[in-house]
Amino acid sequence: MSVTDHDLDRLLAAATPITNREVAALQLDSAEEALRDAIMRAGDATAKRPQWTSRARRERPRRLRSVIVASSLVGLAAAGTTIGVFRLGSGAQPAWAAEAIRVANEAPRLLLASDWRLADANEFTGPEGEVQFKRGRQEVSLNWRRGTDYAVYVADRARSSHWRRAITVLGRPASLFRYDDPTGRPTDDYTVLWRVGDHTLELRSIASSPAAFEALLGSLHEVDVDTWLSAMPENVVKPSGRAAAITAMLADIPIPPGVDVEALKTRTQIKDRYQLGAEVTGAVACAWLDRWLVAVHGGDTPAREAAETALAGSRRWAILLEMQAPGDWPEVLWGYADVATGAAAPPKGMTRVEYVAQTSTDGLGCG
Amino acid sequence: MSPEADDRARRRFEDLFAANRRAVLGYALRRVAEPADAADVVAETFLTAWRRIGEVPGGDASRLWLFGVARRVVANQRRGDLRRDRLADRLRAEVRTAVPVPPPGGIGADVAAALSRLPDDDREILALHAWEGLAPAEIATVLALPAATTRTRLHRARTRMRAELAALGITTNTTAPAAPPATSGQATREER
Repeated sequence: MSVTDHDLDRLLAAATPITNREVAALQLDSAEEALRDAIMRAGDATAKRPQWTSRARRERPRRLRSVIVASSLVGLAAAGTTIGVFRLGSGAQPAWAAEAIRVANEAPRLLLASDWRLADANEFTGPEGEVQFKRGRQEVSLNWRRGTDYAVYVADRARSSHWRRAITVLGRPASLFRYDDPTGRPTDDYTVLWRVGDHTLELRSIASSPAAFEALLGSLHEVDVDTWLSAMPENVVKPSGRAAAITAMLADIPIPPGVDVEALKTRTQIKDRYQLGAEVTGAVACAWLDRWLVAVHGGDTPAREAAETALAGSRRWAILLEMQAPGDWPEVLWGYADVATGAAAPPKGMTRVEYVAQTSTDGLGCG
Repeated sequence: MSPEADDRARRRFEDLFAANRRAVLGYALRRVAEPADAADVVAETFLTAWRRIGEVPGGDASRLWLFGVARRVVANQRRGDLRRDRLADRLRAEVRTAVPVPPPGGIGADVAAALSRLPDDDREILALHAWEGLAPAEIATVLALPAATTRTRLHRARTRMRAELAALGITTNTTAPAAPPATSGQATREER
């Protein structure tokens, strides 16, 4: 039996352990009402709490792997890193772009010992973010979230850890946990939670012992904006560098009318290069796919051919070729381009137009 | 809390419960070994929601928030941290008899076997998409991932699932769009 993406989704849906219809038909109303009433009697509801960003805790790594890293950056090996797009002017004291300073001011700025380099950073703003540090094969993640319920996070970590210790991190009370494996035995996976102002911070790493993990924590230190911004890895596109990075990404990409390049450039979210590339190429590809759909419906052959030519050319867009190694985004985009141009067949039972129109929102974020 | 605020909180929770109880129950039933365990997942999920009712987002986002909580509760259950709360006693007892037992064998068994061989993250993304019917942007909210990352992970999960099905004798269509690339095997950038 052949299984395309579309067929695969249908196969999975048909294999569900229980359908929504079967769930809806279960005779459980009374028991559910009893549960609801018991919950309201048992729990304390508070109408006002700080907004909790429902960021699920990552699955525990099965090997040494960085988890989430917050706004603290190590200025260690980054001392030799040129972050030209982030600096304005020259001289011993660089002037950072205003947006970069704003983000740096809003986020806690912590670094580890000098032999830890900031290796990776996902999307983050001042109030929330993650970064990863590396030292050889060792990894540390640190994340920060503003306005979250610290006690909820502590309770959540405690559910997966029988070993817990109250410590201090940078002079602040903190909760250190050692995760258990499924049998309840302690692992070498540690995490610590503490608060800085209205941020909840969490640092997680594999360590040979509690003492080794606490030694790692002992190297944490707060730094100034300049040091923090200087420590960003090269793959992170800072707000002030965003416009230039986007200009470079689009250099070999035909841009159809309707793509607001200036709006793309002025967003201030800090992203790594892969995420930014996905955002930019997604915006352009979606615009070409829209033009292709309109042209096909309207019988406009020149417009259809122009869109197909642009989409076929996506196989040569430099940013997509660069993104191939770190992730699958290019394959997803080329999949849609191939169907639109006729280089690949749509799933069985769908026309090319139906496939593009009905699935590009899910696949590429179009619309 | 003032009586008025308490009333608002109670109404909000009652509405939330009514609108989402079966969605959360369905989510749990599809992921736990025993139907009774699903009752505990529902209880703990909604207990969390009641205690943090002020944080629960409005509209459709509330269901995604609940799925995010339920996901962590299920994960804790799998680690052996099973909470048998008395709150769920009655629901637990009734779910045991109310939930139908699926027939053995068939394509469902093959798919289940293939799914069980996938990494947890891939399995969950496929399940949220195919069983809960969530779009990648919604899955991104439940898993707290960037939307672009979720889309590429869905693509990767489909590729791996196709490979597992092939290993079980269900072939893949090599002419399908977005033909699966070779697995890089890289340990880094795994979140892509």
